[in-house]
Amino acid sequence: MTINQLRSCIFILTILLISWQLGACNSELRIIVPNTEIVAPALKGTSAIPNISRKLIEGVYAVQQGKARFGDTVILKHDRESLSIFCQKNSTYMVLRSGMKDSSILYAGYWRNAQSPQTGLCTLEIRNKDGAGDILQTIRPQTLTIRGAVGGSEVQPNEPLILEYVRPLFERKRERTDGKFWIIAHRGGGRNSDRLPFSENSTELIKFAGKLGANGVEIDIRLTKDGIPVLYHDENLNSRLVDGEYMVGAIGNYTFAQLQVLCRLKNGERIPTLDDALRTIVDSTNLTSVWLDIKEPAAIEKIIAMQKTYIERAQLLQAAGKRDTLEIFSGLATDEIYQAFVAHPEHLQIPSICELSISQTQKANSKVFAPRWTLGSLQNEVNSLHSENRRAFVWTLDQPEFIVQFLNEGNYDGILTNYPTVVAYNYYIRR
Amino acid sequence: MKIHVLFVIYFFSGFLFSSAQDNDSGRVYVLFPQEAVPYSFSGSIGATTTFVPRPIAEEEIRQIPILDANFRYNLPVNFALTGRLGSNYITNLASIGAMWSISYRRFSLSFGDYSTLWYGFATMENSFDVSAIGWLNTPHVSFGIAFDEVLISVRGELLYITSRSTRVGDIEIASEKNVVAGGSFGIYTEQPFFRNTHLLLGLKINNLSNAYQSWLAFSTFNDRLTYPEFMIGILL
Repeated sequence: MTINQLRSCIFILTILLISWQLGACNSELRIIVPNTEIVAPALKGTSAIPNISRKLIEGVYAVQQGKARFGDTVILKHDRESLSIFCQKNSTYMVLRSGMKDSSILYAGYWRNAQSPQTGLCTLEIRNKDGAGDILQTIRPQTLTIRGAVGGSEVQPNEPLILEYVRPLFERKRERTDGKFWIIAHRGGGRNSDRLPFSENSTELIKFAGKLGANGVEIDIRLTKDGIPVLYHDENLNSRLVDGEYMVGAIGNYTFAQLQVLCRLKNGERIPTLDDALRTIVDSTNLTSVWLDIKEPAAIEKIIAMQKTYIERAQLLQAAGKRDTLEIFSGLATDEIYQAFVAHPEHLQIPSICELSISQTQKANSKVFAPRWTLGSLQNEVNSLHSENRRAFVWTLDQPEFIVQFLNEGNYDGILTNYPTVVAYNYYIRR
Repeated sequence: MKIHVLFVIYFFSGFLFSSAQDNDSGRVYVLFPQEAVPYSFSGSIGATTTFVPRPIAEEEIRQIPILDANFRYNLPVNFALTGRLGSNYITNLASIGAMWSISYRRFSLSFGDYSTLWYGFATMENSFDVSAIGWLNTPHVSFGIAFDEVLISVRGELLYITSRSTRVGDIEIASEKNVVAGGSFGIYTEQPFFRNTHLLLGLKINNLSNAYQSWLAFSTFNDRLTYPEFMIGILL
């Protein structure tokens, strides 16, 4: 071997090693949530705001100060004890913890842009004289003003933000369906590439989905080697979704116990079972719909059994006044899944979402038809489905301009999206 | 750590095995920033692979190397016309540009710019067509050191998207114009390899938003990500 050949070999080896290392490193995307401990003292000594008071705060607000960052109008909506604010400008949203103290209502949390890494901290207050006094006595105040500050991610916020209540949130009225509109968060809330605080398809993200404006979630179901339905999108264990040096190949090659011991989702969570996920949704969220994206026909039998169990559980809780109605749908995305579903003896009674065609939707007695968004608004088809007491959800709509277009021109009953905050703003802002 | 050691060995060997005299006889290059005899031609044929970040590419996108060819036509007063053609069927590109070089002993420096038209098309699994087209403009500066016939270049590039459009069927789903997408830093070697052949090897680290290599992933997240790119070719 000549010197040149030797040098080329060393160079090739070096380049390949660096490429391999960089190829591995470039899979790592950091979570984008600022250090909220900085603003946490703002809530020290507060107590929980009653639910009925929280409802009085929800609405469309005009931005009096802070337009440069948040635009002219914002949407305020609570999810349990948290307040979320959805803005049009830069697809920005805020997630804030709440509390009341001395006739004031206080909030502390963070803002971020849904489609970029921009983020920072935020504190807000409704003073007694600005409307908090009335709200805490469950009276709608004549005027309602929220004052606070926003800023970067490492320092106390100091840019003023003033919001003034304008009108209540939009609510759809429709004759044949029950009027609800579903904002369905893809993969339990969004993809890992959206750098949310929790991993896609984790129970932690599902609990967070409501704070992103979603009232439904889509989750992906696969089977482990020992036949346990788990939440996982890709066919293989890979660095996009899990940390686990020794785990390679199809997730179906591993038992659930092996997965629990040897790997974690990207933000450290365990891979959840479908059972875990549905229990979380029923018991710990206000979500009203679940779209089960079934990845393997072999999983149908177990999924349907679980669907029935948790629909019953949700109905019991609803009857006791402890939660809203909850619908759980089997997703029929491929012909393979469809055939396995319609072969099940109870398929006509099992709620399903069919992505294939209207005729297959009818044959499977699916409650929902779900076309790909690039097929357009399908006005006539959607109206025809409404007349059969079926609904139509469109997937997966992420670009703000198309979200607005579909809300304004389409007649769909729900949107599946990676950006529920963007859909929430554009839905609730309507008149 | 092992990588650093390999690099040290590599560069040390460059000084060790090269003579102190500047001697450009037998040099074959297409990227090296040294001027060359006017009206002469050089080129390379090979392949590049870009490692699209997995969170963007997910599991559905297979990363196929692009077969490509680089050209250089040398002109008087140290100018040269440069060009590139590349294709992996799904993504296709053509570039043309110019560069100006200056050299002192074994060191060379060049400034240049090239424009790229790229076009991508594919039919997705559930039978709908997607396509994308874009114009890129790339000013660049290169620095080179010659160790006899072994030529090492480092090149910094700024990537400017003049226009870009992505379509699903007839619907334009995303577009942008006049955006600085980011930059890249590359290291290349052009050297004799086996018998009379000469090899081009390179590693480029791109830090970009919306790289053309990842157009099929339809990322909606606006952030610059790292795309390592590996290049290999035979010099003509």
